[in-house]
Parts: sequence; structure tokens; C-alpha cells
Amino acid sequence: MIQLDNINKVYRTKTIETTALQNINFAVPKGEFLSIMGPSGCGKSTLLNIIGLLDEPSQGTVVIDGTSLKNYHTPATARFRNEKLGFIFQSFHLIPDLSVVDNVELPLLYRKTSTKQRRSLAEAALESVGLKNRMSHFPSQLSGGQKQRVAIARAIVGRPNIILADEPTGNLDSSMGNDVMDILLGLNSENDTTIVMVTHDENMAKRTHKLMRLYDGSQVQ
Amino acid sequence: MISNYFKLALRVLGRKKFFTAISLFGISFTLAILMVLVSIMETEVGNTKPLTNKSQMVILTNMNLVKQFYDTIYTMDTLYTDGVVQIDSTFKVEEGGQNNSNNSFSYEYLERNLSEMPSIKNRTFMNPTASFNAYVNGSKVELQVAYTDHNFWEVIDAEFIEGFGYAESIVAQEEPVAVITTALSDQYFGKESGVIGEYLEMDGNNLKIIGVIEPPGVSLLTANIFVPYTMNQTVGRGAEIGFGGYMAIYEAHDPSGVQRVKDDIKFINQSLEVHPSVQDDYNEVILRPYSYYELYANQLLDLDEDDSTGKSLGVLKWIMLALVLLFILLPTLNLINLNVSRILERSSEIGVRKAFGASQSTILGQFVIENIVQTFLGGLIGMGLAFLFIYIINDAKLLGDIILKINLRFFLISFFVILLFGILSGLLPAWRMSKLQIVNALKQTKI
Repeated sequence: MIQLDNINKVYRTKTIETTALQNINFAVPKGEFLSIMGPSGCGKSTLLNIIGLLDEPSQGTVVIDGTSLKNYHTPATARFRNEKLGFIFQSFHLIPDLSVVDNVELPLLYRKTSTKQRRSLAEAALESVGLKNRMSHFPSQLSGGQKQRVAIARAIVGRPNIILADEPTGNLDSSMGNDVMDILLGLNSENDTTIVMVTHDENMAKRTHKLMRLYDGSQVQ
Repeated sequence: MISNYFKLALRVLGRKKFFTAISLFGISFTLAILMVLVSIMETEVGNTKPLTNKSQMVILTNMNLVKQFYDTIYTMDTLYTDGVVQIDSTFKVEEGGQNNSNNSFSYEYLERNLSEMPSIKNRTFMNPTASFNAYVNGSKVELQVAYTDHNFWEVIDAEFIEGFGYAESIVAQEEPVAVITTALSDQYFGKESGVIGEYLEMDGNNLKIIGVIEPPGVSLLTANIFVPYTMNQTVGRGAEIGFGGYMAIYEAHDPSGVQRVKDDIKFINQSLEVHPSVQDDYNEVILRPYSYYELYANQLLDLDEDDSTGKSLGVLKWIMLALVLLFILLPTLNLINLNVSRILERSSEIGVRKAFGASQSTILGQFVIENIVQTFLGGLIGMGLAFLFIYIINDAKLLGDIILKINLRFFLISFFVILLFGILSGLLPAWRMSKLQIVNALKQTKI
């Protein structure tokens, strides 16, 4: 499903060169739930961004579902992202001026989906995370856990093959964190969705299929 | 998707009310000023009533009588060489003073010399300079008189509220009639209409009202009462020479015929001679025909008496272009600035949208639409302000007798300006933000 070969990421300024990732090679088969762990600044989020085509590697290739994309700024890449990938961010990144259901509909806006169908799919996604009764609310009216559940609904509404979650429980208490993990695990087991999750939480990582550790930009496990 | 952007645009505007108020004020005030300027231009130089044929008009306001004097300067040098006196004399002729007399025409002079030309569709002679006072119930009413021929009502497209203009027979028979404006009707009779057949006293005559028109409201026609020229008994100084208070307005067959009319007048000019009674003082007659726009520019800018090259018009066009650019560019640049900081606040939203599949052009389109919504709202407020400003200008007569009007073309021009404004002020910041790298946008870093 996901294949990374010789991924390197170097940040360059006029005076300093920082290596965020070096020689990363791994594959994630379909239906796997992979956790990526490591200390702060080891390159976990950078790696996730590269997998999600949100950032370009300095070197190496990313193959997703058999497709290797070279240019990250084209409409074709945007379409690919829309169809294949779903994102869950640590800070939720819900659009404050849109209602919950409008936030969830977001990925469908960039597809040829009718208004009626978009609304129907969004409601179904919210139902699956238990928040259909909050459809007309705005993000500012929700708790942290509810916001993250809305973000999950947004990530899954388009039925992507792969979900990339960057510390999805990082801003939540343990109870809410467990709820979110339960939803992710449910998606993985019921829908065979491939999930790559960056986390600091060992307990959460233990509930996934596989764990990869990074240290100073390199794989250690 | 568009309705989604529209909803979002309204919510974003409502989020920071003070910021939105500043933006909307900037847009609406600028647009209001622009619309007033457009209205002034439309009224003064657009083909609007009562001068719907400005583009075909040639106007002759004055006749110049000139005599150039020349000074002959003799120089004598005396040299004494070898006992012989040599005298060397030279003379040169230089332009000295000039006699110059400038005056408008008598009706008879115009009719005799300047009424028939192959290039004209129609012509009218008009004396707009007379004024009298009338007294109604102890109050003074100013009568700004224009003495005209019957052709006046064919050349000028006056808006008649009731009645009609005087025909050739009425003029020939010297019938004491008048056409007045609604404003004068209101002042003199206490009502704007229903005065046909009533009498107005002016200069010892009882004039029967045969027509009531809307005030012309343009600087060329400021009269409030129009009377046949045959009622003008005043014989001014210089009448025998050809001087009087009349000007000529010629109507070409189409705008391209204006130059031919001017050429015809200049051709006639070549054969005009100074009246024998003043040939000691003047030896040349000079006529200067202007198109309507040249005359307007010349009077507005007061650049040069002899503007047969149309320099004034050229200068006026540049001034108007500069004013329009200033009024569009300055607030647009300001709005661009405001929009950049506003859009920067939403960089993480841009990152999220791109992460979920929005392309660069989609992001650009979204923000341009949002900006158009904001500008449209500002434009609606601006239109309201423009109506208010125009009402105040007309009511308080801030532009004298010029009455600003609003018409369909005015609205279309304003709508175009609003749209251009919206696109211009939103395009640059939206383009910059649409190019943001997703990871940077999500971190909300500055560009």
C-alpha cells in the first residue's frame, strides 16, 4: 500500500543544514495499523507529512497504492490526496467559520459530488463517530474529544484507503484518547483502512499492529 | 461549492466586525466618489438628455476681430574710416501690438453668414446671457433667459413635462410665448406643472407659457426660461459689426462629421470681411469652432483661448484617467494590504483544504469569490452613499445649475468598477496564499 525507498529530508538555510530524515525505508501493507514513535524532533511528523504528500523529500521515492508522484503541486496530486488519503491532525485543524457538518463535507467539495450526496455522506460519517446530533454546531462549541471525532469523520467521509494521524490523542485526556483510538481501531478492523499514526503514547502504540521507532531522523526499529 | 464559499465569506466577514467595517468603509466610500464622478462625466459629456447628441455638436461661441500692428525699427550706424563717413542703415519689421476684439454674434450675422453648410444636419442660434428679475408675492425670482430660434427644440432633446416648444411660425410672428423649467414654474406659479396658458411677465412683456421642461442641468444650458429670439428687442453695442449675445450650435450628421463642420466654418471664415465701420481698427475675422468636448475641456481647464488643436481635451482626458486610476488604485492597494493580513490568519485553513484535495486554482478561486462578496457588499453600500451624495449635490446646488442624473449606463459602469475592485484587491494576496506549502500553512508561519 505504502512504500518508502531511501527517503531523506534536509532543511537548508543560508548557514545551516539540518537533516530531519535519513535513509528511511519501509513498507506498509494494506490494512496495517502502523505507529511511529520517537522523541521530540526526531522527524516523526516530517515522515508523516512526506507519506501524506504534504511535504517533498529531498531524496527518495514515495509509492502509494502503486503510484509514485513526482510533482507535489499539480492538480493531479491534489486529486490523488483527496481520493486516497485522509488526515487527522493533533490540533484538529477544523475551520472555525464552518459548522461541524460543513467541516466534515470538506473533502467532498473537491469531488464531483452533488450537494445532497455530500450532506448524506457527511451525516453518515458523523453518525459513525457518534456526533450526528452536533451537526449544526461550530467547532468553538465542542470539547477537544468532540473536535477530534469531527476531524476523524472528515478524514473518513471520502472513504480513503489510507489515514494518516499525527498524534491524534496528543491534546486529549486519557478517556477521550481511548475513545479516539477505539474509533481508529474500528476503522482499521472493519473497513481494512490502512492507518499510519504518529504518537508519543506507548499505550496507544501497543494497541496497533506494528511499531516503528525513529531517532535523530533514522529508523531504529 | 460556490454556495459553500458564499456562506463562508459571510461568516468570515461577521467574525471580525471592526476589521470588516474598515474594509467595507474603504470600498464603499471610494466607490461612492467614483460613482459621483461617473455621474458628473455622464451628465457633462455623456450623450444624456437634453444633449443626447453631444458627440455630433460643433459650437461657435465667439468672433474675433484682429489687427496686428508691426513696428519698423531703423538702425543707423555711422562709421568714420580714413576720413570718410560711412553710413550703414538697416531696418527690421517686428510684431508690435494687436487690436483684438472678442464677442459673441448677433443673430442676423449668424443667419446671414453661418447658417447654411453642406455638412450640418441642423443648427440653432441661442443667446443664453440675458437675465431679469421678476417679483412674485414680494419675492424676487431670477429669470435666466435663453433667446432661441425654433430649431432649438430639434437640436436639443429637452424633457417636456407638458406642452411643447415654439414652432417656426410662432417665432416669425413674434408671438410672446415661453417655455420654462419645472423649477421656475414652481418658483413663479407655486407648482411644477399645470401652468400651460398662464402668463409670466418679463422685461415688459407678458409671455404665455406653452411648455414646461425638466431643468437641462448641464453647464451649456443654464437658462430657466426659453423665449423666441424675436422677443429680444435689445440691440447691443457692436450690432452693426456682427456682435451680439448669440452662439451657434451645429449638429453634424454623425460624430465623424464633426471635423467636416469645423472645416466648413473655417472655409466660410476665409471669406468674411471686417465691417467697413471698423476697418481702421481691425483687418481680420477669426472664427474658432469647437466640438462640444473641446469646448467643455477648454472652459474647464481655461488653458488657451485658441485651442483649435484640441489640446485642452487631450489634457482633460489625461487628468480624468489619472483621477480614475488614483481612485481605483490607492484603495485597491490598501485593500490588498488588508487582505494579505486577513488571509494570513487563515493559512492553516488553506493547509487543511490543500491537504484534503484543494488545488492551487481552487484556493485562488475561493478567496477571489470571498473578496468579490465583500466588495459587492461594499459596492451596495457605496451605491447607497452615491445616491445620497448625488441627492445632496443636486439639492444644495453644489455644482451650480448642473443636475446629476442616474441612468442604466451609470449602474453598469459602477457594477463593472465594483467587480474590478473585488478581483484586483483579492487576486494578489489570494495568489500568494494559494502557493503556500501545505506543511508551512499548517504551521501558520508567515510568508
